[in-house]
Amino acid sequence: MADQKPLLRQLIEALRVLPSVGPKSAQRMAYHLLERNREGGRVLASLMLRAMDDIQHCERCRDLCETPLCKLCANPQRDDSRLCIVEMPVDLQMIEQSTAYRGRYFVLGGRLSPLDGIGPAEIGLDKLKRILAVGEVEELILATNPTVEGEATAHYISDMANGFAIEVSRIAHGVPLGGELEFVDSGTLAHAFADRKKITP
Amino acid sequence: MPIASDVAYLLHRRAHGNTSLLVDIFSLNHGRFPAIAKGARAAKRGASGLLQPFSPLHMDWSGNGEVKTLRRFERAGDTTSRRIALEGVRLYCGFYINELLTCLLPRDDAHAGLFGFYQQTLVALSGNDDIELALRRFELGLLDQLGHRVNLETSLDGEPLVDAGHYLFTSGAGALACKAGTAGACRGCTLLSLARGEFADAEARGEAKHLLRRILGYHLDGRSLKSRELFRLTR
Ligand SMILES: [Zn+2]
Repeated sequence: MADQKPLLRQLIEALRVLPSVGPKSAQRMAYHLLERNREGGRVLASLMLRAMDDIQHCERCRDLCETPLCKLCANPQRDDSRLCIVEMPVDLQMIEQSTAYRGRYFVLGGRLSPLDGIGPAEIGLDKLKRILAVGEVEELILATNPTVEGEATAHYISDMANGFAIEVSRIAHGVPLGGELEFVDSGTLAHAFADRKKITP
Repeated sequence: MPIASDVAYLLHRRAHGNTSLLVDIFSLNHGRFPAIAKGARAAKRGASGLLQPFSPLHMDWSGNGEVKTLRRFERAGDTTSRRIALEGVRLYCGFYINELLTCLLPRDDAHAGLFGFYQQTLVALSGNDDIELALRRFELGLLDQLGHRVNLETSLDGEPLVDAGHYLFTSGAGALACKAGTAGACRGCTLLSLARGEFADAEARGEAKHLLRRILGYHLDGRSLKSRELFRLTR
């Protein structure tokens, strides 16, 4: 195939699938791997291939995993009566690392954003509805982001849960720990104020 | 580089690279245009929180190309003015009117009248106003501003509509008298009440909704609006 692009050109173009990698960075990466780290490049290539083939979405929570059910969903010690809804797998990791939460998760893989073409079906809400219909979940914890899309997503899901008489809570959004009121934007402050908690003596 | 300033709303925002946002702006005097807010995703002190739909902003931008660069932005209006906060179904409505604007409003075309109208609709949605009425008024106003006025008072053959009549809208904007019970027909009282900015009765709500959906569908050229899916559970 005489008219095919040279391999180097193809590699540089392929590297641009990565987020925020432009032509310059892609070129730098390609030269770096070829000139300085061919072994690393080989490892990356074979791992990339395996990951793309073998990493799937968990059948229950939609987190990324290599088995039909992820570790967390397969763990019988977790509390089936509580389900925490997060936007992205990384949010699940954050909650796992920073809280004592022992319930289950559901990963949306995004948030309702009609202007991006993302509706209820695109974030797996039909699947979530089937999980809620089973009747094991008693409390739903909405941990979507405090953006307008995150709010819309939370509202939509809480509407869905109300149909099954499930208790719904939304994680509080407010002043960051260590933050000063002076530097918090007025929207955040208004939210934090409205969501204030009673202090029990 | 010359800097332009205006009052504007964000219709939409999406991530652009690791730290920036690509935003779709609807401004009072410069119409609708895309812009990059450099570093806004990573910025502290709520820069990213400010750059959200439904809140009026004062902004400065520069650039000669199609995509402008946002230089500065802050919340418009003094701190005592009512903050537009949409919740629940009213938030879905906000997405709906933003999607309508992104689909139908051409870029770089100033529409000061439409801007004021958009703002009024947001205020109506953030209060206790009738949601459906606010949406129908917005849809009609949008069509009017874009030069597709829907005549709800006179038929295509120049006859004034009457409450007891029945009408079909054929080519998107014109009413033609028809027999009662014709598929897709609207009652005269529905159309005349809508022209006054109200609903004659409960039936008029449904009729008006379907009428506008059909007329908008004609201008949307077969494109479907994703935000309509959000209303599924509320029906
Ligand atoms: Zn799982």
